[in-house]
Amino acid sequence: MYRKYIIAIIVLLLSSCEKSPDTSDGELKYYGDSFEDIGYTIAQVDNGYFIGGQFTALTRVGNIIVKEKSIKKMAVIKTGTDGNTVWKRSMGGRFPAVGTKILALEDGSVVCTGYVQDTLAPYSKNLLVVKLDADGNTILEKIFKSPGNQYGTDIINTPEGFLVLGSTDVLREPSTVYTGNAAGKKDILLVRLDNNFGSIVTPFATGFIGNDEGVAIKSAIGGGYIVVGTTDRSLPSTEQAGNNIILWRIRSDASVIEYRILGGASDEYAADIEVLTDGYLVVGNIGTEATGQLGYAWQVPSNISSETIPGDTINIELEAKIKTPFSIKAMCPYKTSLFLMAGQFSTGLSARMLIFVTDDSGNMVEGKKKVIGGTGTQAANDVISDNEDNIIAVGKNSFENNSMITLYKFRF
Amino acid sequence: MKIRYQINIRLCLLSVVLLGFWPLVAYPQEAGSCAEKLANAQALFDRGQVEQVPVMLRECLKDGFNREESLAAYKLIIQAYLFDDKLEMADSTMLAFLKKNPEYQLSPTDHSSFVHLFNNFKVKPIVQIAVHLGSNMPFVTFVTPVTTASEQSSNKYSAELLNLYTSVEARFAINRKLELNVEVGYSQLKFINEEIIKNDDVEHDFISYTESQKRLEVPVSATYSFKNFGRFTLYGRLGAGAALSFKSTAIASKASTDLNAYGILSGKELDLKDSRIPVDFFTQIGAGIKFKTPGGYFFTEIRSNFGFRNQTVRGGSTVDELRSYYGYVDDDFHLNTLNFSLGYTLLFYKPSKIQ
Repeated sequence: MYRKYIIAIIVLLLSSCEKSPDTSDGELKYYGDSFEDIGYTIAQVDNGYFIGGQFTALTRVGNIIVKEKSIKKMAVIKTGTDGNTVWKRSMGGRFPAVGTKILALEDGSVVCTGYVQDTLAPYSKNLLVVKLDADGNTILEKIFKSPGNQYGTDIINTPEGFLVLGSTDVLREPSTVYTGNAAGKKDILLVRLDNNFGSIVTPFATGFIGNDEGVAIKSAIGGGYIVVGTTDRSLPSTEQAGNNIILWRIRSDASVIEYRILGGASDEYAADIEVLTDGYLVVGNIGTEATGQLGYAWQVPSNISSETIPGDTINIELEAKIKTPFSIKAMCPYKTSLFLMAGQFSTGLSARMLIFVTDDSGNMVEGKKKVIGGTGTQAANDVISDNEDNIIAVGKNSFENNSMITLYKFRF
Repeated sequence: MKIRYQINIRLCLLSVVLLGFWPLVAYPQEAGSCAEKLANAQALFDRGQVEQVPVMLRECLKDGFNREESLAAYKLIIQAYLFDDKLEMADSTMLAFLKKNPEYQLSPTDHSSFVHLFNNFKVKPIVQIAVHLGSNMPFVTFVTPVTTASEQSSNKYSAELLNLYTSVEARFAINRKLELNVEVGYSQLKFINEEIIKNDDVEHDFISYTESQKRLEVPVSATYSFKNFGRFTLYGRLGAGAALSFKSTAIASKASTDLNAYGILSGKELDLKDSRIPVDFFTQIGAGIKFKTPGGYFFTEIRSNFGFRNQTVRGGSTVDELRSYYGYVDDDFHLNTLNFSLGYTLLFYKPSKIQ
């Protein structure tokens, strides 16, 4: 009799052991410490992800942070596919530094570009490029010291090594309305590097007299590269004003073939570019941050000089009459012919991470939108997707003076 | 003169007659006391005038006797019917007696005829109604940790000792030792998860999460009486049940270990209605001791409910606020309780004749 009861107890207790792990909310991970840590860029490797961005390296005395001795550092983080840190490095030597774009290489190593900042006046920025092996050992770390301010915004692998897209504010002459660059105004900077970060030629700057800033570079259809950026040049000035989108088609030696300015009377800011089979998808934002931006997409033919280039705001709130401001910060291919956009939904303390899917014309795919976040300010600064259609976005989550690097992995 | 004497003689005779009837008038007045009636009925029974006994006592049985007198009266009536060969009346009176005194134990002074008839009846408790009042101590098992920490983190679940539990239980005797029980209870569960997040081996965030659940629990169980010690009985309980959650809320906070980083982040109570399963199932195991009293028993019991299901439902409306503002993500976990209760059980019997 007792044996029956014991068997019944065991059966009932064992039946309580059901486990049903569920990750349908996605995985959210934070990196960093107190104060300001921001993720700007993410790249995938076989066994995880590389995150580039900014750490604030803290100096503590007991439980007090010594703010004066806490400096920003270029953050390079290796994570597993679960988002847990495998290793992390603070780069930039003794200088404050920030990483803006990371590039995973086939051998498992990683390259990151950004800048270091002088600690003495005039606190100018210098282009920084680092390379670490798969275990986080520094292979190369190079600061391209130069007058004025230079920083890297994107980097791609080339047959000769790397091509860094950056920005410089050095005077370029002859400085006229149509040529050169005024001192203190931004020019795009192209730096050709060999595999050891040696400069192949003198870094090449181009742009107009005002501000021209490249944000992304890709291999172009038909060879060479295509750069997208923001310019305060209007062409024609009768139809355009404020900031506009600029496309440069460049040769493999980084010399400019042609450029094209897109936009209208409003301010437009470039965010990213992807290569289509017969052209390019350019995304950016229209309007100013202060008044509220909306994401914008242009379908650019491979011949960027074509007469008309269609573009429109991206409607991510199909039913809403009053649209919530949102901005796009990055884009990547998704599945076979779709694209993922990462950015920020709403503004200020209501700002949330935004990820959504569009077709190759920039039209949002209905139901494929994710807005996540809570009290505080969140943003997605970069996004990738893997072969299993996982979506991995990186950005920041901030409240008061604390900001953390955020990785959010999920699937639609 | 002759007429005067005649009147006096008549008065004297009337007085004598009245005086002669005095005891007859006084007798019924004393017989109105139920105690006296019982004594007289006993006297009649002893004299063999058994047929008058039931009539004499019937009215008093309704509301005139104390407990001892009532017992004696029932016994007398039953014996009277038995002697008078009115067996059906004896049966129905025994039934009435047992309904009123279901826990009656035979005494050595009981008449053999009464004992014989008594043994032809059985008295079984048809239902026992128990009321529990106690406290739950929740604990979690099968925890699959989920954290926003990308490096080291540690967390610890704890619970408050006082969580109200109250219930009403119906118990049905299967046999002398085994009972089947159905219970409906109100249960409060409050537990805390404290998480410490590290960066470079330095603790820098402390997250506190307190969840409260209010639920209706409906266990069905069997209790088995193992051993008696006088009026004490040890018993064990085994069962299963359902728990219907009707309110789940959480309060969270996050604090930095750095004194000049950021203040304590806290906010309003969060409604977890869409982040918790609405119905859980559990197994129940426990043991208790009961103390017999007339008509029922006091008991104290300790038992544990082991939840079957993962409590966490992903995709709830509070997920974003919890993980973005507080850095907290629900673990997958099963919710269990250790329950301590005191109570009283009322017994309801149904006597019947053994066929």
